[in-house]
Amino acid sequence: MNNIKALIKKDLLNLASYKVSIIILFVGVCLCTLNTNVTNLAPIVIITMIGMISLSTFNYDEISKAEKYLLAMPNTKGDIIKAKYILVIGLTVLGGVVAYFLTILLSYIMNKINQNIAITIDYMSLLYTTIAGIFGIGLVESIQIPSIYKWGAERGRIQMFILVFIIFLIIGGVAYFITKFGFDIDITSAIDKIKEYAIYILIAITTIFYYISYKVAYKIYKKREY
Amino acid sequence: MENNIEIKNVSKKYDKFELKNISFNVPKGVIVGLIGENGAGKTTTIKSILNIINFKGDIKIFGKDNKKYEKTIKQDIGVVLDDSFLSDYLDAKGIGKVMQSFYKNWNEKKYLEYLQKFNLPSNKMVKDFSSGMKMKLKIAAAISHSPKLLILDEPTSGLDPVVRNEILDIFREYMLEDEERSILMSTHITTDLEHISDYIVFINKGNIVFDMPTMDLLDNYGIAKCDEKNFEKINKDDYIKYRKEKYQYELLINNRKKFKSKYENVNIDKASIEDIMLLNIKGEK
Amino acid sequence: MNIIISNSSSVPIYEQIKQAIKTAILSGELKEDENLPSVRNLANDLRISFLTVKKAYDELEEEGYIKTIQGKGSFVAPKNIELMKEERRREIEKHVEEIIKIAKIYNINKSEIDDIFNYIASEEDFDIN
Repeated sequence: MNNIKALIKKDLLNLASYKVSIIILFVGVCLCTLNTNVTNLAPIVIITMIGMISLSTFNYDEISKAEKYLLAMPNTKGDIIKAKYILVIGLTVLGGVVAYFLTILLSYIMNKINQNIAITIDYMSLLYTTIAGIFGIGLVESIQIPSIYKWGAERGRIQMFILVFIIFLIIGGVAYFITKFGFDIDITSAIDKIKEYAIYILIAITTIFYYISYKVAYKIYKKREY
Repeated sequence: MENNIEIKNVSKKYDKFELKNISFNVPKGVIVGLIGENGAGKTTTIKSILNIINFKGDIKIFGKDNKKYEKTIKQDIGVVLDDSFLSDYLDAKGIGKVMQSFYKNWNEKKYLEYLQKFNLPSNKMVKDFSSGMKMKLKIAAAISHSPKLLILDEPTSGLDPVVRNEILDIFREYMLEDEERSILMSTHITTDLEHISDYIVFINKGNIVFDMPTMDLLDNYGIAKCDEKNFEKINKDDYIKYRKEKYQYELLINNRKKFKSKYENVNIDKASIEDIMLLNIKGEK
Repeated sequence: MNIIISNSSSVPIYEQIKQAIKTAILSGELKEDENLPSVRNLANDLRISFLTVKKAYDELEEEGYIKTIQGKGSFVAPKNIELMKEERRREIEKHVEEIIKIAKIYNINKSEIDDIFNYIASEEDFDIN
């Protein structure tokens, strides 16, 4: 257990070397999204960033060629994988919590500063998007981690963009067909209907995906030799 | 238990290379040098000892199986790998902080003393270090938990002679602190070994060619040089390998004294470890 | 005590160490019961394998020059006068043999050698009687 803590500590300290730029980025993103008046967007953007940052610890390891050294120390391959999953999941959840409160805090401050703008926040809906963001990004990460173990951090990252692109393409395609062929669907009511269960479905899918992801990553990594 | 490492019948098969059933020991209190060409099997051997790769055979460290007791054993090993380190994105202080959480016996004070002694900056990122500084940092990180065994993969390659000597001095000092300690180091810079190693294990094409005290190599081995006429008079049993050069024959001898008394008119010199290695690889019999 | 090791010499290194320590003992530079450096320390200072120093020490002990007490280290053994004398004689004999060998090569007879010996002895203030 101690060495899993140590492994996580290594990743956090690696990231900490860029802490100033990360904080500036966060606040910047928050301010931008708040100005668009779509306040719920802020948590999603922040969680996405955090997700990418946590995955970048794979890059740090790859550039330093750290894995061989870590395995030469009192670590097993299982420890290394466990530490990575704990780190990625932990950071994503933490990112959500931070994003939630940061959005509230910043909107409060902005309302104070500029009396002309009144940013109103629906706390429930903000919480809802935050949770959806955590599990949505979590889903992407669960696909990402095994592929990083398989193909390496650089190609894994490119893959992430492709993955996100494909998701947008599918959503766009569906929307296009719906409008083009004029299906008689009341989209808003449909979304409302799904919305009730969507969050639970998402949580369930993500949990299952993480379980499979862990098993697959472990299997891939076990075979890998340095 | 007299040996810190016992390697018995270890094999590892790759597509283009095979480590064939090698066995050797690293006794307590000695420095063992592992020599051979690039790709001869040095790193594969070290990776097997550290259980980084899957291998066939038996390896015992401190008398314990290195797979079964991996974590306990590794608490007492210090490792320096040629091309791999904890992180390039930390400074020396950060490296210390992380190492501290890996090793129970980590001695932060000792580590900081080493940093000072080696003139290493504590707040510069590792990636901005020169190769000599980086190697010294790796060594400081490897010995600050007072391991019983040091395993070093090419610790002096790519460094200038001054730094190399500094590093060898660090290893000597490490050995003096406790007589039960051992070092296993692989290197292709064999001159370093003449002044530091107690035993030399020579691997070629996945086989162990010899495993013997450095002293015996330097005191008994020789290179004889002669012309074709003299070469034909020399008994095949009196040399290990020969090599035909443009103007002369070169013979690797394992008993200078005996050879000299038998063939008085053949010139014979001391053989360096490099000579021994080269003639073994390139020579014929 | 000086120990000068030549890597290019054909004399094995342990032999060179042995000779140096022997010389120091015979010349009285190392006194009876004086502590010798430990095997490890000497090996470290000379930058050679401790096995080499160990071999030198082992042979010196066998020949009666030093004694090793477990846990305490090595000391110069109490002087065995006969042994010392013998050793000194052997040292001189070795040189005399060399002289005779050279004399034979150049056809120099014994009386000529005597002359050379006497001449150098008087130059060096060596008391023949």
